[in-house]
Amino acid sequence: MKKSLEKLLNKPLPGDPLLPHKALITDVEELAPGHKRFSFSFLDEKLNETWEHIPGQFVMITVPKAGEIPISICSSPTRKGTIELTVRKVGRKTEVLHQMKPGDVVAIRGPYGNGFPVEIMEGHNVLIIAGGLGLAPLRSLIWYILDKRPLYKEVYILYGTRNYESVLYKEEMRRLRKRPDVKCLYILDKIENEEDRAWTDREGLLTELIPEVDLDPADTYVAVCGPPVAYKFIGKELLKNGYPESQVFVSLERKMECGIGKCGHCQIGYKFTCVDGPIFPLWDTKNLPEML
Amino acid sequence: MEFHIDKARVLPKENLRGFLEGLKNLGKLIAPVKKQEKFYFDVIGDVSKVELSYTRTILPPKKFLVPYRRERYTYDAETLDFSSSFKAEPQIIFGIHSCDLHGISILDSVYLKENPDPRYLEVRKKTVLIGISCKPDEYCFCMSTGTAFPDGANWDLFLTDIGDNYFVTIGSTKGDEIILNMKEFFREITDEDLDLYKKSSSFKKSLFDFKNLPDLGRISQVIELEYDSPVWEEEAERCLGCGTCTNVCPTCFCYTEMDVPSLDGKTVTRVEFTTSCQYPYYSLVAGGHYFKPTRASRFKHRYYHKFVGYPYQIEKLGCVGCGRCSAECPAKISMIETIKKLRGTADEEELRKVAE
Amino acid sequence: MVKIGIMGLTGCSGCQCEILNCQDALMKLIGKVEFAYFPLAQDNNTFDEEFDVMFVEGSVTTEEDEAKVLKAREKSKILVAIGSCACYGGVQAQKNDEASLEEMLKTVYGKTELFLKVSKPRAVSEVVEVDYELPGCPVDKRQFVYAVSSLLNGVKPFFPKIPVCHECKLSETECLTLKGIPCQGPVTYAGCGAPCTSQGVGCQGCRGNCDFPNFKEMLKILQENGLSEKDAVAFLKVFRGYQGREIKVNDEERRNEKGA
Repeated sequence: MKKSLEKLLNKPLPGDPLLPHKALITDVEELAPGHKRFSFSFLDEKLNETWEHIPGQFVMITVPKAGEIPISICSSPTRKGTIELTVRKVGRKTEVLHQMKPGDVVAIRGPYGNGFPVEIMEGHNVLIIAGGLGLAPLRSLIWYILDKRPLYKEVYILYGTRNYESVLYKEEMRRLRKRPDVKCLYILDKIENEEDRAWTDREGLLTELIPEVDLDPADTYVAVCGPPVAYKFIGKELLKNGYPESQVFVSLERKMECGIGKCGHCQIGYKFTCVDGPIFPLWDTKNLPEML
Repeated sequence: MEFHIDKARVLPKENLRGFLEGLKNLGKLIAPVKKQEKFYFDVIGDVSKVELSYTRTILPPKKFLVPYRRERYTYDAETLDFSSSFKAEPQIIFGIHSCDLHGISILDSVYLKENPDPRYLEVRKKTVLIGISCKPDEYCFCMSTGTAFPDGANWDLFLTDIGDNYFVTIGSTKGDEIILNMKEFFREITDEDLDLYKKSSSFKKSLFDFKNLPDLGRISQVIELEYDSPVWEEEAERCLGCGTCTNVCPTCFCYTEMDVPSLDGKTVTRVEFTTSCQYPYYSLVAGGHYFKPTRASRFKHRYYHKFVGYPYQIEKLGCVGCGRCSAECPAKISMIETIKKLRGTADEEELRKVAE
Repeated sequence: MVKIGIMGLTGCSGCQCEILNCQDALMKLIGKVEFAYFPLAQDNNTFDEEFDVMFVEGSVTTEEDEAKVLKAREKSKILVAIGSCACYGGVQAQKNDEASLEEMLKTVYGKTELFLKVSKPRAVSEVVEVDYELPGCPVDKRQFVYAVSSLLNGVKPFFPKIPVCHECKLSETECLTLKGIPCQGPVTYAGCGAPCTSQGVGCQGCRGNCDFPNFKEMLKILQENGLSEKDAVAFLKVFRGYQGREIKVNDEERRNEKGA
């Protein structure tokens, strides 16, 4: 028997990685039409203390009777005790989740995926680009960086949505704009009413903001998350503006069933989004053409 | 140690039935049986039904390690208390060909290396794998994938046909114990047996038509280089997307999970079922976006995963050359032909001339 | 209590009989749900209240069918079409695109005036909005029970439209297509458990199209297995009803097919 396999087969039985932990919904907030923020804490008190994650990682949440869904964690690991998820009502499982209320029990396992390379980013500028619901995993990164602000140089946040109504975390994003230690540029697809105008005077595509970022691209790490169609354009624009491919990180979405590299659904070329991602450097697109 | 020659034994063919009967005492005996023109692995009651002169079964023995439909958990819809009725029983899978043994060692790596699955490990620990030598047909290309012979990776016993006898090599301590406990069926090897055994590998090689075998040298790079090749489109034109190629594959492992609530709504069963990357829903996310929208993209994905994905993830090719996908494809799409087309294999004679 | 209705339009009532065959499930349901409308199985049916779930069997063929199904839609929160007649139009719709109603009536009845006012058979979804479809001739019991338990629990059922080959191969049935028997498995929506092929009968396509079926190759294979092009198309169209329009014979039409 070969050593490598002998080792594998002679191991004691490991814990079941697919077994989730019970969690309580502690708070639900309607962010925008069809979008809610859910806060959870584990029934197992110890787990609340020991739980750690990296911004950009995700969990698998069991919606009772409906099934499991992969959802990015949108709270920062620097704020312990509760996990927050931003959920858009889009399919058969999220519809059921959206009907759930504080006090209801769900089950959560994770965290999964690689997360943003927050430690590598230390000592550099950070440019965060969010489109629509893409803000969710980046919110975790934003608060992580702001809580450890001295470790990073300049921080930029670019956020694009359809209109003011669909802006997520409206209050938070408004407060961010007032902070002196972070530069925020917000844009809307179309400005149609007073509310929109009060939010921003910028109208157009998220990509238009990129040239306005006043950072040295070579000293900047970029984190991008948005709808699947946006990546190609954002990627192109970033490269045009001199950001190195190895320093641009995109957070990708795929169908997932297991989160641990066993179900296969999330494969992008030779990589699994769940274990090798969901955060990929733009450099990977060279080998994985179907990525974006 | 891969091979203990001092422990190898000979099983005279007339003792096979007795040996099989003896194996039944160790657990559930599974072996190939005949069904119309085809073969399949089944639980054996009557050992005379065991059919050893088969080329390939419809499905690989994988189904006894990872069932095609399995209940993962049952949980209480209110309290979310998870429970499981999973139980692994001792089983002996007899008569596995070399390619399928390699297939199982690939599954071992998939399930046990990263995020190990305790169920798979428990089943594997309770499973005895007994292989047997075979004769290839026109669909086999294990010679190209390097899986024509068992390499002592993960099996317990391997029987090589040497005429009137089987030359039995021992791959694990489990296998050694089995022979010790049933030593009445075995005899010591003679120089003549060893000589025949040594010849058996060149005999198997002689059965291949080497002109037909695909060249898998640097295959990962070839597949990546040919990412935009029109060959994918051409071949996918014929693809029915029926998923047979992946369902019969000894190394495919993709599954979909679904929660089935009971009628009274009190409990929910979480079921996992085997799926295929050839089905459109495989890449469909909520909201209606297909990440693999075309037949060609799904078709290409299978090759990409087998020849680029597995080497990246577990450092082995994901194909063992068993030929099932080609033999069972209703559209008669052949993996060998597709690889040849992708390589653009020119006439070798011509190449030689150019080289001169 | 949850109110359920099961109604039959034009069809053989086979699907309703199949529902009656789900004894275990029905026993569990009695007491939890009220079968307010199920004329095939019980007396005292009411059609005036709101229904939580209404199952509709059969195609919309007569004026009466149309009135019934319109009312059913109005009265029901969830409307589920069961069986291939309700989902696609059924066997009675196979010639819809080839013959006029007059021709059909003359061929079958010898006259065009009947005691009923009839139209060409239509799928329920061609008349009213349908929430879910459970095709099959007859409907599959396990799928029916799964759909009922999901709907009663407020969850939408999940039916991936994968081909019959999936279930056929996993039950280790020898491929009939390769054996030379005309079989529609590769283009037909699974969920039946492939009972026909396991008995050596080629799939007849009763459950309609799987996702993005490759009819071009299917037609080619059926022809290799002994059918003329015309027969092959007719064979594919037997159960598919309006879905049969997706079967394109010439290349020009095929080019823009989704998911090809």
